[in-house]
Amino acid sequence: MNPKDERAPAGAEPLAFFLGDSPDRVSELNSLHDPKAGAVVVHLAPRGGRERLDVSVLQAMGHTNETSGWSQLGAETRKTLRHWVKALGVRHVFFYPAEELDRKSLTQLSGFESVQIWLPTRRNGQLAAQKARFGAGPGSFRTAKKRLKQDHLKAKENREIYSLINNRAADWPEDPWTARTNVLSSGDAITYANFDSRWQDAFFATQHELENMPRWEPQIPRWIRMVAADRDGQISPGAYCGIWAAFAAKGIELSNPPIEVVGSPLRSPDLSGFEKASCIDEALVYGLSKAGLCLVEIAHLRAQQVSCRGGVRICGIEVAGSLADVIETAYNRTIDPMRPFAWHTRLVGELWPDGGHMYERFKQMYRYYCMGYARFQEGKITGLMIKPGKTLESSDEAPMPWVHPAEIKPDSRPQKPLAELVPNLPAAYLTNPLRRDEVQTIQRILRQTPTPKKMTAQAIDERDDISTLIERHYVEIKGGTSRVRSSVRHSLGYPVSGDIDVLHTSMWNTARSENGEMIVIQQPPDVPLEMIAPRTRAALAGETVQPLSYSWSKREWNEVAG
Amino acid sequence: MKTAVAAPFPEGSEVVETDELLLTEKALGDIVTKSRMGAFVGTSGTGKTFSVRRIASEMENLDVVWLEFQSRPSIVHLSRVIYEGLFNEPATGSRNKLSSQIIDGLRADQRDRPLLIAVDEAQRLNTECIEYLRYLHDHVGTGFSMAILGGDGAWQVIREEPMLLSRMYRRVTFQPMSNEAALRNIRSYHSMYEDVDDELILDLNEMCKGVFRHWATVTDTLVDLMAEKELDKLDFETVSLATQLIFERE
Repeated sequence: MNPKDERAPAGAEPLAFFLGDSPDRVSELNSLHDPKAGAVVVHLAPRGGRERLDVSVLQAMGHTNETSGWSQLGAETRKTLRHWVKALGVRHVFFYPAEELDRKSLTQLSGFESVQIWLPTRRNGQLAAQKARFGAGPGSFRTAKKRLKQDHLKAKENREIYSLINNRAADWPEDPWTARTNVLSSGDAITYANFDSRWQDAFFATQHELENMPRWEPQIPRWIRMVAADRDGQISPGAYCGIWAAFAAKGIELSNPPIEVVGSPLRSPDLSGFEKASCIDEALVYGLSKAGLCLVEIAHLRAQQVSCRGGVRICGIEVAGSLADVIETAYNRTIDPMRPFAWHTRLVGELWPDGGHMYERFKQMYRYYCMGYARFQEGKITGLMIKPGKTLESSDEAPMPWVHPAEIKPDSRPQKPLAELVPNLPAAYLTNPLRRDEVQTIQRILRQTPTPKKMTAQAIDERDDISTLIERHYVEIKGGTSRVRSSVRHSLGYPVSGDIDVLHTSMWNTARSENGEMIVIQQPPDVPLEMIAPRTRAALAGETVQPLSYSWSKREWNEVAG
Repeated sequence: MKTAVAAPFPEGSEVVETDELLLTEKALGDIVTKSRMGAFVGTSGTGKTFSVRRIASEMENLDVVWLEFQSRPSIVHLSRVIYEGLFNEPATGSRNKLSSQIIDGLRADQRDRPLLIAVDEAQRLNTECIEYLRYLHDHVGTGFSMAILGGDGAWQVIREEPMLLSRMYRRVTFQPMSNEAALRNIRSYHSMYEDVDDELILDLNEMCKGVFRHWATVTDTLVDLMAEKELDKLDFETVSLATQLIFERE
């Protein structure tokens, strides 16, 4: 065997070999085609010249113009291809017959740095010529099959994680990279809405925390459990895939992690008299922290993870005592709906009379709203822009303030105004409480939106990040996430731990609670020592700090927090 | 014996279960099941197109797209015809764009039922077109069977293209009916022939040169003439008139 054949795929030169033209050989080549295992066989059109090689590869990977939707623009298609090559972990691409391959088209492919390109020729007499044309090394069909077998085993190993968590393996996505798109392509609108809602929340939560996470590995099992668990304790496939995507976007392969089961029931600290607290959140955060949850876990806790029927549970974990009373009180309180982006108002959606996830549905409606619009224009709009910095609060620019009219290019097809597509969408939805009749309107709008399968067309080709298979402008409420973060940071300014107070904390660089999983308190960067709460300063100085009482007044909190 | 009456055939005629028809049934079933290619070739008028159409229409859960091209078509023309056959709408755009859409349309995972593409008059195809068909068929994303039909010269075209010849999973050759075959089949073809002499059938078969299409024309004419004359049975004069109306006088 030629030593070159044994080289690692990364950065490898193309390898050419004679395959032949018989149906058996071609069939054997096609049998290697398994994009999810990292191998793609691309058939080249006869005398195709400089055909769209990126399109050919995408088609070979199973994507169609109609359902996966890539732009007709070369740059966009190449970007789409680059994302998919990375997403599926493609490591081997065969271009058959190599005689039909255009060298310039090949060099224009991007994202193939880690891909081994194989050039099987149809005619033996052409092998030398093709080697010279592409600067290819000698390969063989046997070597190719051997390499693929080795890599396929690795890919299979990576995917086994799904069967290890939950008992509902049948519901589990086969591939976390493509799960979101798969649901979008095959599920109904509500299924997708629910999946995507969990996906996004988990993704952004994880992405946010990963930025400050120097030693992530020990916390992963617990993090997955707390972020991805539903109220019944089951791991949500959507949330898990969101976590997976956030890790992968950082270049971390979340391979086969254990999922920690938090002790059940949670400890129940004494929270008697919690009703005297200036804000129920104080008691809630304090109580949850004392019960053993990290601040970051508390910050990302969602209403969908709380159950108050037949006992109080968080992520399926039973809660008893006065903490249960606090949670139930918080869960059932009347929330100021004008604060839709504060972390705790995620509870809002759960508290509407219909018991549904209206806040999440509302977000979904907006996403569908945009995607449906884009799809309606048959991908002719290249500038469906969302103005940077615009948020959903921009109610003064109804009905669709995020579209730059100048960016909409003329189209021979009749174009409907967005207002006609989704009639009577009041911009007031964006900031005002949802009423019952409005809930019904949202549901009607959801029913009127195009099917998810059609939605993918425009949505996917605008994405700008591997982790967002759907372009983020369409799916993110601009500004919403940052407001959540801001609110979270603000709320974390309260001293909440029994051991120390915490200022500018995050799970990864500060805390070690009495439960052992957190808290190494550090001085936040760029924060003068005198600005840090006295108790934190004392903790930083190594002094013993007496536990705080949750029931301090707001004024007392402020005094302590500096 | 098939009992159904073929619509385009003379009134009262029935589908004759010839050897070629039986072979077509078997071959078509095989290539559809395995998504392979098959050739149905032979002299014009011997029933290739009829047989394939007939069998394909009787196969359940099968989509059939019929393609027929101009003589020696370009790949652009070929791709347009395929596109229009697949999508039933006018084809526009470049060849590469059409190819891309055709590949999408041929995807096995996008179809509820298996697809048979029948290429009629394949003798008109040139090497480029055959290569293009092979490309569509070999593509990893596509999944369909292909029946290539052609009259004189079609098999010659296939035989001269190794990449196509090697992919032919089944081949059925249609030949003009021999006298023995005519005696065996024609009485089943139409009730008017049930009681006629063998000699008449042999004479007619000679004039028809064993070609079924000619037999259909003769029979259709005889049906009309018998109706005009209100005859229950064929007589010599009617047959003579029919042959004079159809065949060139010697």
